[in-house]
Order: sequence, then structure tokens, then C-alpha cells
Amino acid sequence: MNPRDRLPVSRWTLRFCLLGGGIAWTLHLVGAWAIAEFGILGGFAGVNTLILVLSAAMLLAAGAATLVSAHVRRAAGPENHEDARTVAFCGRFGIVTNAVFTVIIAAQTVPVFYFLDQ
Amino acid sequence: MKTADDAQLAAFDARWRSPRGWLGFFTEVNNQQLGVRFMVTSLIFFAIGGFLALLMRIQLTVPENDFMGPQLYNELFTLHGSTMMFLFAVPFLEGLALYVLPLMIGSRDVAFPRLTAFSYWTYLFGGLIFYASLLTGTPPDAGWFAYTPLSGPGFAGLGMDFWVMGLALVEIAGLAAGVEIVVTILKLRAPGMSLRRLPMLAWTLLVSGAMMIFAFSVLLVATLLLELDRAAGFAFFDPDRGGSSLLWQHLFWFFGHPEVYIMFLPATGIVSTLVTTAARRPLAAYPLVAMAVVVTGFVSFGLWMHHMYATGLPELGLSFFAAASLMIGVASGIQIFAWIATLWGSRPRITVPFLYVLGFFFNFVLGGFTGVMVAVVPFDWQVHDTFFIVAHFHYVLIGGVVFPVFAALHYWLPKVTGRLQNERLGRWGFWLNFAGCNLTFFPMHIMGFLGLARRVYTYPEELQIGGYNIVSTLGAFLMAAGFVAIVVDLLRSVRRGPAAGDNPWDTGTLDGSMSSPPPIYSFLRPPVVRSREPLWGPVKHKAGEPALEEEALSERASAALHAAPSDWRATLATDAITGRPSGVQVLAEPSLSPLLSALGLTLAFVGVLLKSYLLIPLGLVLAVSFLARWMYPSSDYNRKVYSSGLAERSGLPVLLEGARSCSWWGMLCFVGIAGSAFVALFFCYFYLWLFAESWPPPDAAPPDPLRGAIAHAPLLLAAGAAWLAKRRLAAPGFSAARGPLLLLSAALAFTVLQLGLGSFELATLPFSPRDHSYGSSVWVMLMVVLTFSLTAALLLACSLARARRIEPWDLTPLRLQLQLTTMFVLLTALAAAGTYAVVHLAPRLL
Ligand code: HEM
Ligand SMILES: [Cu+2]
Repeated sequence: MNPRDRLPVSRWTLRFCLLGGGIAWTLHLVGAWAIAEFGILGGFAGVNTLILVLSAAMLLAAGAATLVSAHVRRAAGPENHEDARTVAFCGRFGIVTNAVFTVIIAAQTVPVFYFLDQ
Repeated sequence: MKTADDAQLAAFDARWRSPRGWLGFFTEVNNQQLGVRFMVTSLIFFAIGGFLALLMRIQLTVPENDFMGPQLYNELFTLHGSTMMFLFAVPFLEGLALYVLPLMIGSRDVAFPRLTAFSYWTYLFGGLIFYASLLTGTPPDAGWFAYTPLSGPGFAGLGMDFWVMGLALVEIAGLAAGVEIVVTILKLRAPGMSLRRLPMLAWTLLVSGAMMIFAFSVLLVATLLLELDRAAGFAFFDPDRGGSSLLWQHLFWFFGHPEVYIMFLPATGIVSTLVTTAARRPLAAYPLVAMAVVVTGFVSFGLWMHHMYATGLPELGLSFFAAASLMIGVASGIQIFAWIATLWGSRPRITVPFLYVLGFFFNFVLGGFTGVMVAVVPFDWQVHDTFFIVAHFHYVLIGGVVFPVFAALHYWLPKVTGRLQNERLGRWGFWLNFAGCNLTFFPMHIMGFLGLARRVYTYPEELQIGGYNIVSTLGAFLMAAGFVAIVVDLLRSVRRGPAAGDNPWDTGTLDGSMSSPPPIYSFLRPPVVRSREPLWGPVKHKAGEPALEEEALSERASAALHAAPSDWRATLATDAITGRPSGVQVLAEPSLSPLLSALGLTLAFVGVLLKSYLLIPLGLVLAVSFLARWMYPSSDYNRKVYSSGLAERSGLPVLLEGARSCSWWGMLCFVGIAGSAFVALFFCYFYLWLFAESWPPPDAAPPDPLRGAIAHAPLLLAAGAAWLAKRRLAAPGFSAARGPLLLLSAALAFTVLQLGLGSFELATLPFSPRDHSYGSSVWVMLMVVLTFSLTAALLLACSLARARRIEPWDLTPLRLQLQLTTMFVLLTALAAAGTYAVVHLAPRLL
């Protein structure tokens, strides 16, 4: 049997756990920048709303990645063999990384409210 | 028994030995040899760049000096900055990675040995073309970021073309190295080295390699567009014809900011390694540090705009970037605390490499501090383009990159040469460098506040900063003396140093486990790893822990590869996350093709410079044919591997396909490169549109959507056919090649059809690429699709030729080939669809 298949969580789960938050943050940044730059200069009215929607979606994605990482961490079970330790490591790494990205996304969204007033 | 073993060993050794003689020099593909060449070449460029800096410092010593004029000063800072950024720092780290990485992660070579050679040659030729600009009479003078229009056809002479084309070659070298590093780390680790046992240096190189893939591809696009403006009269950056100067700034800084972290992250990896060794205990908070590295990698891409604060962009965007800038500071803080925690209470040996680490702490913290200051938008408006900035980035670059590089040099040199260096000379070198660096750059902060402008060749007496400048120049000469001390020490130790022994610093990583210098194949027997610092004693299994099945697997694979195979070069491939052995990876052998294809490419670039339109196609054909020769798999080789019995002995597949094979990951990286290049092109198009008065310009109608659809649709069909062919070949019980053959022929026919129709469309476009930036961008996108299409046709033709006769041993390699070809054809189809949407549909819909 292929030893690849015996991890307690699927490969895609692991990938999402390792990279999900980072990708969400990147999309958020690029998207928000594009909306701001093209939207404001292009004279488009709904810039702030669009950014809020985007931010909400990406916050959800990064938050989901954090939760999935927590699930990965739990699914690893007691760390009494090598595979469990590897998966648990991915889980721990994912929890911290994705939580950090979630916080950055939130922090970067706050200024939008300030601009909403204007 | 003994003799049989000896014979085996001799055969293995002979298989790996570097080819001899001058021809051998040009066919070399080994990671150690090429890594050393990379490092030596980059240090020579460092010396040249440093020499240019001394000349500038001499000029600035006293006010209103006439040692040189403004023009020469402009040329000097341009050459100095570009040399340091492109020809020294990144290439040195690439060389270090090539040399050290396989030793640290337990591999016999890097994933694509011939690509290593190709990377080195393009780097060398690029550097030579770059410096050949001195011979043109008009050396480049537009600064290291070459802002347009200063670097455009209206202002800069032929020297700028040399700068651009030389740089393009160096970028290609960087892309190749990035792919090499990423795939090697993901696929070629020692069995047992799961993600949580990856040495920190490997983490940083992994992130920085991935960043290179994205950043350098965008820069490559930018430089090629600039050259089109300059050589062919295109209008991307010419505001009079709908172009934009800000576009260049965007493209450049999208690369330029990550570039700083591409250099800085491996530097922190070096520091982590040295701190761990000095403290003789594992790195504290390892998962947090890994997290900080990955977060820094992502976030640094978000920072490209902070260099453009003074250009008046919408405030909303700016607030985003200020937050990201501060975030990077936090991630760096985590690393610093982890280092302190590691060292806390340990009694580190203050060796010369460790002195450089301490110097790094000091300088980098200062540079980071001023960095946070300039991240504050209003502050940046004040000091922008003064010597405060010059001081800031030299602290970051010298403290953050050069000191770790020197630390690495002292730390791994005994491994490379097998000899110890002189402690006294090393300390002299350090103190000269440290004092010199601070004397040179600290006064610059003050001079900046007092109003000394950057990039201006002199300053008036009334500024009253003559005293600071004298100190600064003195410091520069001390640094030069420090570098001389390092070089003298290096040369002395190579000739007369005492033997270093296997592990002079008592490190815990695998590089300490072999003789100094290491054998050319690094590991006679692939090591099996059970902890993060395998040399610091074996880790005890916890009581009651189940015996590991994987470990038995790993041991078996490792034993099977003991001094074997000897008929071809191979190393163990492992799973990217768990580090389980997943196959035996065949490694390429010496070949002249990498050099020749690099030469072909250089020839084509020189053709652009000399406006010799015969040389360009000739060079490209040369490059492509040698590229094909180097990659084309031989059936005999496959048979040798297939019938070796190694698969049975190791319990692992020896002919790899899919995600087990390094080539598959290499292709994935290439898709990343091509994808970011395309996104950059789309970005150019929309960006220009945004600032255009009318798009398309009044006298140009957008190309006809129907004709465009007809010209591009065949690629979708080709992708479908190739995909089906791949599926058919992978089906179990497959015997006859009929089905795939037909499908492949169909895919090839569709691609050729697209080539014809697409070329026709391009030739009959109702506007010229020279009239307006609109025409330029449309033309380039269509042209790039055609180039992809041509490449896809060549790949399909190769697959077709191979599929005509399949021996049993060719089946897996053919499958792999089809997987890669299909990936490429899919990418081409995607690019074509995107281009169609952007070029043909968008102007009508939006
Ligand atoms: C050996 C010590 C060095 C000295 C004395 C030195 C000195 C200078 C001076 C005087 C300038 C011009 C300032 C101006 O008028 O704008 C400059 C610019 C620059 N230096 Fe250095 N430098 C040194 C090392 C380095 C290193 C190691 C790097 C990078 C790794 C570097 C990167 C740059 C860059 C990027 C510029 C900006 C060029 C431009 O404005 O386009 N320097 N340096
Ligand atoms: Cu920056």
C-alpha cells in the first residue's frame, strides 16, 4: 500500500492549512489595491463597499484556514509516532500563521471605515 | 568480498567524478563545483562594486570637489547599486544554496544539475554584458532602478541597452536558481526529514526561492518591455504616446521590494544556523520562526508601493501598505527574540563567524529602526531622496545581508577547502568591517537631516557637513581594508591552513557529517534522519512508541543506494511533507548543452544590442536546439535504469512520474513563472487603459472578436486532445499507442493551426505597436501567446516522436513527458483565453 495515503487528514487539507491564510491575505491585498487604484481613478462609486465585501470574504477564508488547522492539530491525535508529529506540526504552524494573517486582514480593513465617513 | 566492494566503490566514484580538462570545465554540472563558481564570481563583482563606492566616497569627502563631474557620479552610483543588488547579493546566496543545501538536507546534488550550469553561465554572461556597457562610451546612468523616462530612448544611450539586456540574462539565471532551490528542498530531502525537521536555512531558502520565481518573472517582463521601447520604438513608458512612467515604477518595485527579502531571508537562515551552532542547542520557538519566515515572504510582496509614497497615490491604498510594512517589523522581531532565547544562558563560543552574527544584530536593528521610521508616511515625505535613505538601506543591506554573507563565508569555508582560517586575521577583518561600516553610514543619517541630497555629485560649503563626510570616507576605506583582510585570509588558508577536520564548529546539521572537503557526490549512503540536529546524538524513542515501519522503509532505501547506482547518477526522492522516501531520482550528468544554450541566448541578446536582426533568430534557434538536446530523454538510458534491479532492492520506483518526479515540480514552477509574467502583462494593459484618455486611441479599432476567437480557439481543442492523450496513456493495462498517437497528432495539428491563424491576425492588426501604448501592449500579448504556442507545438512533436515506439522501460518516462507537455499546453490555452478576453472582449464590454 502506498504510505502516502495513511495520513490522518487529506493532502489538500494539509495544503490549505499551510498556505490558506497567506493566499487569502495576498488576494485581499491585490484585490483591495486594484479596487482602490482602478476604482477611485476610474470614478467608480462603490469602492468602499466593494473593499468591505472583499475583506469579509478573505477574513472568512483566513479564519476558516485557522479552524482547519486546529482540526488538523486535533486529527493528529496523540503524538506518539512520526506521522502524528509531522501532522501536528503542520497544524500548529497553520494555527499561528493563519491566525496572524486573519489579524492582518482585519487590521487592514479598519482604515476603510475611516474613509467611509468621508 | 572486499574486492567486490572496492570495485563497486570505484565505479560509483567514477560515475560522479567531474570531467577533466578544459572541456570538463565547460561541461561541469555538479552542485559543489558550480556553487563555488557562483560564490567566487559574485565576490569579484562585490569587489568591483566596492571599488566604485570608494570612488564616490572620495568625491564626496570635501564640498564642491572636482575629483569627478556629475555625469561620472551618476554612472558610478548606477553601476555600484546594480552590481551590488543584481550581481553580488542574490548570486552569492544562490551559490551558497547550491553548495550547502544538498549537504544540509542529505541529497547528492540539486534537482536539476544541468539547470544549475545553465544558471551559472547566463549569470556570468549577463554580468559581462552588463559591464561591457562601459565600452559603449555612454554607460548607464539612470540609477539602479532605472526609472523611465531617464532610462528610456530619449535620455539614455547604448549603455542602457547593455544594462537592460545584461540584467535580463541575470534574471533568467535567478529564475533558474529559484526553481532549482524550491524543487530540491521539496523533493530531495533525506528520508525522515519531514517538514518539522527542515533546517531553518532550508526554510528560508524555500521561501526566498519561491519569491524569486514570482519577483524575477515580473522584472523580466519589465526589462523586456523597456528594451522594446528602446530598441523597437514601442510606447509602454512614453507618456506622449499613451505610455506611463509610473508603470515602470510599479513593475520595478513589485520586484524590488521582495528582492530585499529574497536576500534578507536566507541571511536570517544563516544567522539561525550559526546561533544554533554557537549555543549548541536547538533553535528556540522553531515553529514560530518558520511562521515568521513564511509570513515575511508573503507580506513583502505587499510592500511594493511603499517606495512610491511620494508619487501621490490614493490614500486608501497607502494605508494598506503602511500596515503591511509594520507587520514585517513584527515578524523580524519574532526572529530576533528566538535568537536571543536560543543564546540565553548558553555560553556561545565567540568565533569569527559568530562575531559577524553579532555585527549583524547591531547593524540590522539600527537599520530596522530607521526602516520603521520611513514606513511612517509623513516622515518618508521629509527624508525622501536624502542621505538618510542611503544610510537606512546600507544599514539594512550591509548589516542584514553582507555581514551574514561574511559569516557564512567564514563558517563554511573550512568545509569547502578542508582548511581552517587564521583566527587573528579573521578578527581584524571583522573589526575593520564593523567599525568601517558604522563610520561610513552613521554620519549619513545626520547629513540627510541636514539636507544632503542623494545622487548629487557634490554639495555646497554652506551645508556645513564636510566633517561628517570626511569620517564617512574614512570608514569606507576601513571597510575596504576589512574586505582585503578577508580575501588574504581566504587565500592563505587555502594554501597553508591547518586541516579542518569533519566538523570544525561542531554543528548539528548533516553538513558536519562528512569529510572536509566533502566527496563530490556528498553522501556515499543517503542518511536517514531522526531529529532536527541529527549529529547531536540520536534521539531516543519514547517508551512504548510503535516501531516505525517508515524507518525500515527508509533504511532499506538508504542501504540500496549505498555506493550505488554506479551506472547512472541518482539520489533519493522523498515526500514534500512527511519526508518519506518516494522514489529514486535520476540526476543529469555532465553536458555541454547548458553552456551552448546559454551562449545561444546570449547571442540573441547581443543581436538585440547590435541591432543585428540575423543574430537574434540564430541565437534563439541555437538556444532552443541545445535545450532540447539537453532535455531529450534517451531510451537506452531508460533501459539501463529500468533493468538495474534497483527498484527491487530499494523498494522504490526508479522511473518517476507525476508529483513524485522532480521534473513535474519543475514544470509547476515554470507555470508559476509564465503565469506571473502573463498577469504582469495584463496588469500593464489595464494600468495604461486607466490613465489613457481613450482606449483604444481614436484612430485604432480593437481587433475583431470573431477573428480573434477563430485564431485562439484551436488552442483549447489542442489542450483537450493533449489531456485526453495523457489520460489514455495513464489508463491501466494500456498496450497499444494508437489512441494517444492520434490524439497527440490532433493536438499538434490544432496548435499549428493556431500558429498560422494567430500569426495572420498579428500581421494584419489594424494598428502599429509603435503608434500608441495600446498597440504595443496588444501586440506583445498576442506575440507571447504565439511564442507559447510554438513551444507547445515543439513539445507535442517531441512527445509524438517518442510515442511512436514504446519499449516497456519507456512507458513511465513517456507518461511523465506527456504530463508535462499537457501542463504546458493547458497553460498556453489558458494564456490564450485570457489574452482573448483582455484584448478582444474587454474594450467592447467595459
Ligand atoms: C563597501 C561599502 C559601501 C559604500 C562605501 C557604499 C557607498 C555608496 C554611495 C556613496 C552611494 C551613492 C549615494 C548617492 O549619492 O545616492 C551608494 C548607493 C547605493 N549602494 Fe552602496 N555602498 C557600499 C556597499 C553597498 C552594498 C553592499 C550594497 C548592496 C548590497 C549597496 C547598495 C547600494 C544601492 C542599491 C545604492 C543606490 C544606487 C542608486 O541610487 O541607484 N551598497 N552606495
Ligand atoms: Cu521596500
